[in-house]
Amino acid sequence: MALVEITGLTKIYESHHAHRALDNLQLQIEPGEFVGIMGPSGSGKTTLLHAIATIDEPTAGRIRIGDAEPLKMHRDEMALFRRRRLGFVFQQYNLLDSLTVAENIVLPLTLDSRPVPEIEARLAEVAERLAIAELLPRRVYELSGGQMQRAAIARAIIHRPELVLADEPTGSLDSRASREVMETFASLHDSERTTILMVTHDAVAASYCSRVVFIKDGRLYHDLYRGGQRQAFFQRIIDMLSLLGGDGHDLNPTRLP
Amino acid sequence: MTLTRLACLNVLRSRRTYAAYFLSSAFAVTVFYICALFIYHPAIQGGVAYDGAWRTLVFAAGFMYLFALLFVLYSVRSFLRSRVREFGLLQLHGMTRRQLHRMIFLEQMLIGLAAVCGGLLAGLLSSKLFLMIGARLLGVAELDFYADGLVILVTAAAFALLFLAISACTSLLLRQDRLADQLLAGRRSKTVPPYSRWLTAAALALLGAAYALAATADGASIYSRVVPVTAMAICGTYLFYTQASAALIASLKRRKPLFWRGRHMIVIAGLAHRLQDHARMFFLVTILSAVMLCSVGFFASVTTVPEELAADYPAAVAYVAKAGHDGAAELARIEAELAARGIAAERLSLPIQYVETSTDHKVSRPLPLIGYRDYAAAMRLSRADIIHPPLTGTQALVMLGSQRDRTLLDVRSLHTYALADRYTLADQPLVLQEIGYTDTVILPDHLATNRAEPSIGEFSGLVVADELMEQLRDDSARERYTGYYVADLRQTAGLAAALADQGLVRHEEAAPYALAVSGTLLEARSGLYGTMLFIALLMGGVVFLAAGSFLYFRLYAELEYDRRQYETLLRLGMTEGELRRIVTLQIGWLFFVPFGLAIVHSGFAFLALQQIFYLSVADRLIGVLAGFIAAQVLYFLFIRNRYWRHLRRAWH
Repeated sequence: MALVEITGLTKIYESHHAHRALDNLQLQIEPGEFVGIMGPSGSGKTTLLHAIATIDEPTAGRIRIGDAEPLKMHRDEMALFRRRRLGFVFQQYNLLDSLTVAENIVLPLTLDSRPVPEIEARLAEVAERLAIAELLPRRVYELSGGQMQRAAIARAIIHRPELVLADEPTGSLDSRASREVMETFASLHDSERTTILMVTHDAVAASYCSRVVFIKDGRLYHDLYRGGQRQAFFQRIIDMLSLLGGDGHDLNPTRLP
Repeated sequence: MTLTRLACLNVLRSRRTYAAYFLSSAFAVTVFYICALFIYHPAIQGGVAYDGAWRTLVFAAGFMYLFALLFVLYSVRSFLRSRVREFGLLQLHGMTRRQLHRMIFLEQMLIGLAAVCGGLLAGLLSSKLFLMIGARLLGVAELDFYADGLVILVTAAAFALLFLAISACTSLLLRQDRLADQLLAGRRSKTVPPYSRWLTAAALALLGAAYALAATADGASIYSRVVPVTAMAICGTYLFYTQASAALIASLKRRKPLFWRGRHMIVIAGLAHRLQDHARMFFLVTILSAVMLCSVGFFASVTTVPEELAADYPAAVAYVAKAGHDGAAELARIEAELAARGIAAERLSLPIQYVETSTDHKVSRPLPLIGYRDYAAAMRLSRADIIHPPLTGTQALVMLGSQRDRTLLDVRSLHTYALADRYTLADQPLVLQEIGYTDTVILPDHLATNRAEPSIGEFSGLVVADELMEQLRDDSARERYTGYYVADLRQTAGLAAALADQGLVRHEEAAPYALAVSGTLLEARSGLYGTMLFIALLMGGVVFLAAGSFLYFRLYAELEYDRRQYETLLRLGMTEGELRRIVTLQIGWLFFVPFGLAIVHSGFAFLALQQIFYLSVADRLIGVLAGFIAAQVLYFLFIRNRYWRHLRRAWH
């Protein structure tokens, strides 16, 4: 059974003129998939991510994640659902700078008031997994962008969520830090079969995924599955993007490997 | 867009940030205006009220002005500090420093003039109310409403000058950092402040010692302790915020079962960050609030003095004819006026014998003595229950001069008095021996030679055995006291105004008599203390608003930053209820940590204050504290709800 099942998802923004950001969108994500979502600006990528993340309410449609239907939940239930079963990585890292790196990472567990020994064990495990043990006692502002994003990934996975949602995780990083972060995601996916859903503009970042979904005008436009080499997959993504049209700046030539 | 328009828009668009500053400034203007209104009021200038009240008003107006000056200066400085990045951007885009200063000057003048206008308007609208309250307190007939152009002009000019001076000085307040640093301002990249164990210990020791000294002060030591205790409390408070709080938080953070649980981590880290960034502001607010609480408490307490006054003047009219003056004319006049008012008075007349102590004795002035029989009669008239058993030989009782002396009873030791050589008893030198104290005042303070000496108080003389009194008789140093005892002191207000226009002719004055009319004294003091309390409350209100305004400004200067943090927490799965509790706690710290410490400070100050009053002032002091706590809670709830609304607006 698919881990995430989205049917007929529609979102209409009603301001001065109604705008259909999502239009009867269907999408299924299997457990252990690493899915990238791409598309031109305004195609509805972020709206889709927010709907899955339960932080924005769609106008119509159904979303099932595992055995839960977050749209039918009460607000507080949604919050608990996010806290226990989803993990988040943001473009702006969103680490709290009044806390140390370690404190930021354990935040989802402390919010749930788990016992300290359990929290410490999990922290040690993730830190080792992501090779950030030496960063733990530091303050957030002492880190580089790539280090911050890896700390944010640690925060997103420490409570072993069913689904990790990433919103442009490489959007604020240079190419070297982007590669570090994407390799972290890829290795999580390879070794732990973590299910990841990532919205990105960056074709290089998307090439680390096992599958890339293209969205245009709020509808599913195309699905690409990675077969063999990442290089070849990258080329197919580039081709698809040029076919998709959209703004030229979506494809950043300096990022070409 | 012209520079003026830019300045206007800057102010209008950040009106939320400036709201509390504007309100506090406007309120200061209003209070200043009201003080000035009383000072210049024709009826008060004509002299219907007492000098003391008038001086209080002038002092209050001066204090208000000085406080407003410091408040505006400090506020403007923090406004400018919080906008360094914005100024950097403007300069990056080519604004010259001259233009920048001009823009800031215009902005500050705009807010300042608006505050002057708003404050004056509020003053004009409420002046009738204040004149009514003021007239009651000053004990004068109702003051006519009047809006004097001069008073408005004085107020407006004074504050316009104040804002002008400070706006013109903003260039001095503006940091001259490099542009690159200005553009980076606002990023939080501070290290955790180091704290020293020694200074933490010093903070706690200073506060503890100050509290202990205040709590154990007695009537004698309180005056010498005031300055050192205040200094210790101020230093202790500063170190508490800069050192002890950091130490406390570090130890909290080490306790993981506590710190890593639920929302504790976010709340404690938020507090740590606020204490670290705003230690000095917290210190300032604490000291301001403590000073405000103490002064309002003090003025609320001195109003108990009229009640003490009745105990200080057991006779409604007390008259002393000095040696060589029979006083018949004055006494006849007093009796005629009493009769004209239909006041039934019991009359007591007794001789006061002054004796000289031996020259080597430390009390060099003549010592007033009265006989035991007269003492007993006076005690019965003033309805005192405890009458000392008869005295024999050279035994003597010390007469209280006023209720204030009572606070010295614990520390004063009984003295002996060697009299001058010409007084003898069975050919032996005469030595008077104090064996106790009278239970009430017999001769009020100013009707006998004042024997004020630091260690023994202002006791007004001795009671001796009747035989001794007879032996010491010397008409050339003998005065006669006559007291009229009535049921209600207030009836005698204004009596014998021709003999004593302010109700009191002191013994040391040149007149051949001394006189105290307690009704007149009571009225004068009630008016004076009432005015003082009223003024203290008004000024307390200004200080209270100003302290709140510092907190409010901090809160709104960081609204955007906090909003991003809270948004992250919401996304990570915090419920809105949990977040609301966090926000409540975070704002609660800001409002109640400095205020709570100020309450503790003033609590101990009040313990000491009680020592200089004979009657208990606890109920008044508790009333003052409860009033301000209630006001602070209301203020907190109001700000919390506003702040929460502003936060939520972004998410929905």
